Amino acid sequence: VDHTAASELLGVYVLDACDECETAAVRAHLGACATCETEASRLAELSGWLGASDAVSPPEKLKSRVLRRSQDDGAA
Amino acid sequence: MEPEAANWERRVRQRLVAGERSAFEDLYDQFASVVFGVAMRVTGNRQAAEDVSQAVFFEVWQNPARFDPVRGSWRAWLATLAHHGGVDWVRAEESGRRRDDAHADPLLEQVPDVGEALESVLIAEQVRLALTQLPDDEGIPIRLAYFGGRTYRQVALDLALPEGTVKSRVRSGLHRMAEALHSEVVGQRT
Repeated sequence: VDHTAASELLGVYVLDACDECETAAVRAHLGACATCETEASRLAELSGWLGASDAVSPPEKLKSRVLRRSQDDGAA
Repeated sequence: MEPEAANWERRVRQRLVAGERSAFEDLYDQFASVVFGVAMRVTGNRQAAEDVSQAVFFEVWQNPARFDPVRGSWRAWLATLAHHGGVDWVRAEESGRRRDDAHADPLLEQVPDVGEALESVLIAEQVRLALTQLPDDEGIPIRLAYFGGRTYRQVALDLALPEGTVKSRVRSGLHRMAEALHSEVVGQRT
């Protein structure tokens, strides 16, 4: 994708709303274009915060499952 | 963000990089409800949300250095990872079964603050507030894409709008939110 096409995708890109091909194309463009990289960082920070107030208690068992997986990893 | 809170973010990262299990448990206790909450919201499926949450924490355990404390907070970073994971699940499921309780309204939960900046909880709230203050033509496509885990093409179909219109409204809406927030909250981080 060229600069114009990539920059038009930046909003939906930071919301994970592009298909795989477009996501890869935008990512490649960001590596080469400082202007788009700056804009994408600013918007990506915002999208991170969008979900960050959505707290819901997970089931109790999830904690032991998560900790066990990391222990298995450490032992391997 | 004030220095003490920024230190907490950095210290947790250092301890994780050093392989300290207690840091991993601290991170889980502080943010499991955020990760699970985002995954629940996007997938609408408890089992999927558990799987996504486990994968997110495992990824952080394996590669804590990917988190950049200069550019963000753990809360927003973990929410971003949970969103990626949730969206991947939704896309994989799409051809098959539908989301089972997409419109369920999960109970929101406050986590006790153990040293993480209360400010970062407040920023998240302000960002959500800024979203509600957007005009509908920008706010609705952002909500459908982010919380529904939908591609912009699906959003365009849902709203009977051209794809280009959805792309530009999402982008302009996010910029409008960033401008509204930048001076008071997000801007303090940089």
